Amino acid sequence: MYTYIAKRLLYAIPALFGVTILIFVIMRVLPGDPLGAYFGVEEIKRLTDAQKAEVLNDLGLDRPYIVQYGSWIGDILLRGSLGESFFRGDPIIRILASRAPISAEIGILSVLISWLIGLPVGIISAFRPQSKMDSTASMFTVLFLAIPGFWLGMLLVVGQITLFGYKSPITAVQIWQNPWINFQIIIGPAIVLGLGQAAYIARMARSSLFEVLRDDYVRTARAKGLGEKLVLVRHALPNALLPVITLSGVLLGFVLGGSVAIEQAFAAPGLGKALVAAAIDRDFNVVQNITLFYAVVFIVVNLFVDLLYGWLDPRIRLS
Amino acid sequence: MKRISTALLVTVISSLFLAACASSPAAAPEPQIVEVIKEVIKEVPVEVVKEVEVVREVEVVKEVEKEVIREVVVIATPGPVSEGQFFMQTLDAFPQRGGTLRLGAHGPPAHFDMAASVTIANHGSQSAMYDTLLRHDPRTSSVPIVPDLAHSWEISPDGQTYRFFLRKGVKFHDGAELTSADVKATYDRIIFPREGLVSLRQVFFQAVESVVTPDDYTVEFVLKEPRAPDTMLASFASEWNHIVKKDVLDANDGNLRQIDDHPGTGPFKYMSRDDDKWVVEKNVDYWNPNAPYVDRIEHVWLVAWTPQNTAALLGGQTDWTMWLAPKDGRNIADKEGFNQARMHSFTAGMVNLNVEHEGLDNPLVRRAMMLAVDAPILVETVKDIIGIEWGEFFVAGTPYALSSSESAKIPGIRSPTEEDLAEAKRLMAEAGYPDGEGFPTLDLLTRETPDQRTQMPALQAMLLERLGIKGEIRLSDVSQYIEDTVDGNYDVALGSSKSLAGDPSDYFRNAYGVCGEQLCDNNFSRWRNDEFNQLMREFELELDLDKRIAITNDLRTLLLQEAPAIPTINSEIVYWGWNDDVKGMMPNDSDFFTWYELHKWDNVWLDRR
Repeated sequence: MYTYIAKRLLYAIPALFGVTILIFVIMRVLPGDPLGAYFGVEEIKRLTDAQKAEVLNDLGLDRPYIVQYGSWIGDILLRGSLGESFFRGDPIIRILASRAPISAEIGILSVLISWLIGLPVGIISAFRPQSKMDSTASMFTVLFLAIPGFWLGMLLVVGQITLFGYKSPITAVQIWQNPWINFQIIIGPAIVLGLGQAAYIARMARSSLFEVLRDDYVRTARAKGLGEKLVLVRHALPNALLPVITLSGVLLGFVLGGSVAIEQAFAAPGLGKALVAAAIDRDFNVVQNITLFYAVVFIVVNLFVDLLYGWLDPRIRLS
Repeated sequence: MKRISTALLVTVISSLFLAACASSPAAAPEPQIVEVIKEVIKEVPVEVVKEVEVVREVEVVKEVEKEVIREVVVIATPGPVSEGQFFMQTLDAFPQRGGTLRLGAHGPPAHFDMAASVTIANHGSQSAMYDTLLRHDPRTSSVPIVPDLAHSWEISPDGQTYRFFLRKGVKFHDGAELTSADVKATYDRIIFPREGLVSLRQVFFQAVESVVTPDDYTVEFVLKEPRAPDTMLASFASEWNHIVKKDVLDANDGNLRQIDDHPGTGPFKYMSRDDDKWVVEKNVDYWNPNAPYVDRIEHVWLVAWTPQNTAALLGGQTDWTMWLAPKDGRNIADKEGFNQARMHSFTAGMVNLNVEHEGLDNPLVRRAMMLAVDAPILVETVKDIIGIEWGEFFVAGTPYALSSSESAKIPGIRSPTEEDLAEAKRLMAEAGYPDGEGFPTLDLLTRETPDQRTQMPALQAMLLERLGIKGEIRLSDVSQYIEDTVDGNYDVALGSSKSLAGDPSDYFRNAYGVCGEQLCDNNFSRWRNDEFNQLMREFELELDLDKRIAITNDLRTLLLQEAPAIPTINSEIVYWGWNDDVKGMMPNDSDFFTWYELHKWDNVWLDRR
């Protein structure tokens, strides 16, 4: 087990290295001048060469790319520092500390919602294939797969305002500071993300369970005279859930990416909103480090899912 | 009768008595001769020398200090005052104090140096911490200039010296007293920055030769040549030019880009800042005894023109916001419990025609294009994307601009009539391009913004359908767009020129003139015209309003003839919205003209009973 974990972590190193290079290069080749973000796109025309040179020197942008990259990675590896916001000088660790918990809550809650909705729907569909219930469930799963989360989020926000004159909080409040306000921040994005995932979960649960319910051991259980509930809970579901768990791990990764747009729609103060703001500002340091953080989380979550998979199914030997 | 008889009797008796008393006549004596000697003076002229003082005027030049005060403005207020000075206060009779005002703010700013910024991200969040020499009164839509740190001011008769008298006892947030040295240091930073230091408002004080401080509470701006007082005062009243502490500037070599909490003298003090908001708290030692009313302001970061901005206001997450999307801004006036105002910034927009390129170097062609393009339609296409108003060359809200009805009569500005289109075709034929035949295909440089992406295809269609001129749209990201406009790599580009106070001496020269030997920043047409530059020079030096208006009429005529650009808009609208809890604001449904000012919030209170 430990060897497996060590191997996986070692494999993660080149992946993270690749991510750092990719995001570093992308931020520099994308159109948009950081001086434009700094002074205004129209105003940089007025700057003299001396003025531009001083600002670029202050920001460290006059150094060769390789030096800039080395400085970033060196800060992380040698000093354990993510550095500071390119422009304002805010410590990036502070941004992560205030934003990441909210995004994590949104991600976890969305997975819970997806299970709460997706599993029952999948089970009912699998037990009653081709029934009206199954058809209705299929229709809704296709619908939620097709609806863009960002659009659904906007719709929810508009609905809240129109019907109740309510808008969820837009500044960060942590769960330990005020759980109720924190809940109001995360519930909207979590529902939207959760509904999207629930559609995948329902379809996966249906097909998986549909297959398992026709296996010999289930037939044997029924032949022994076990009730349908017991057959489902004791025999069918544990095996049918394995692919669903794997899918959830993958989906959690997608949630990280999807939350960027959803947080924007709700103006929820998570990591996604910070990433978008930094990208607009051309704040290279913030974008690079948040992206790197996303990559680390994605790798860790997938490792966790793999370990969970082995724990749930003893037939799988991780080594 | 009896009375008359008595009177006659008395009269007769009195006469007899008097006659009896009289002396009897004596015998007459012999006459005697008496010699009387009388001196008669005969004047004989004798010459006598007498010295008489004769004053003959000889011109001797002696400089005598004699100043005539041209203008002294001290506006009284019914509130608590000292030395008859003006103090800002709400116009409401019974304001409440306390509470947290939550403002929808465009931000966060990339840096904190106001002198190097033109973005509302800085101005919106930092202005409440600082004061300026003068200010605009935010309580009425006319936003007149009133005192701030300067309780009064004078302008010399020649218009070349502006003298400000500072209030005494004004304290920075760290307890130090404000003196004229701080004002001088601030303006030296703006007007005469050291090499390498960015100052984006230097242009508004180009005529200033020096800033001097006769004493601790007087500061003088000496100009090389006169400038219109309205323009100069508006520059001094701009919240963008807030006064900072000399020590802070000295300690940082004038560079405040990374300093977010340096002390000001304003009604609010720095409290905290993060990725969500910028928080300031009440300055309890503020020099104005009336203000501020609220205890705390949270500037919550939101992005301009987004649904999130509107949602935050309507959903109660903010009390006030600006940059509402135009459609939301218009609609919010109809919502119960909300108020709206329209801030008109001094902006002139135009379709720039690159006069250095083939075809467009012919004034006949440019005039034809000007006559054929329907500017009101171009504006209409983007009315829900950005807040703009169709208009002529000169910005609205100033005495130089034509009204909409006047503009609607002028060929080249108005929607083209049949006669205008016929004249446009005739001009194209005269230029050698009948129905556009032989005319080069135009490169239509288009910035990747929703408004330009919408307007340019409409313009392309107008030129093709009405004049037979073909154009190819070239989309460009912002950095490439700026590079191309600076280098002149385009035939047609949409552009605009903005002004701090609406005076043509800044935005108009900037859009069509030369600055020194170079084309000015916004002269995308690359048009060099001696007559234009001469008229602009006369305008800048002229102080009489009527004469200034006459010059702008000449400028307009010249631009209509030469047509280096086609005017499209002369006002940009920024929609403000606020809920009913916010009091002390200007009246609901107001229109006002400023350059993104009015962010001190010292006149505002919250009604949260």
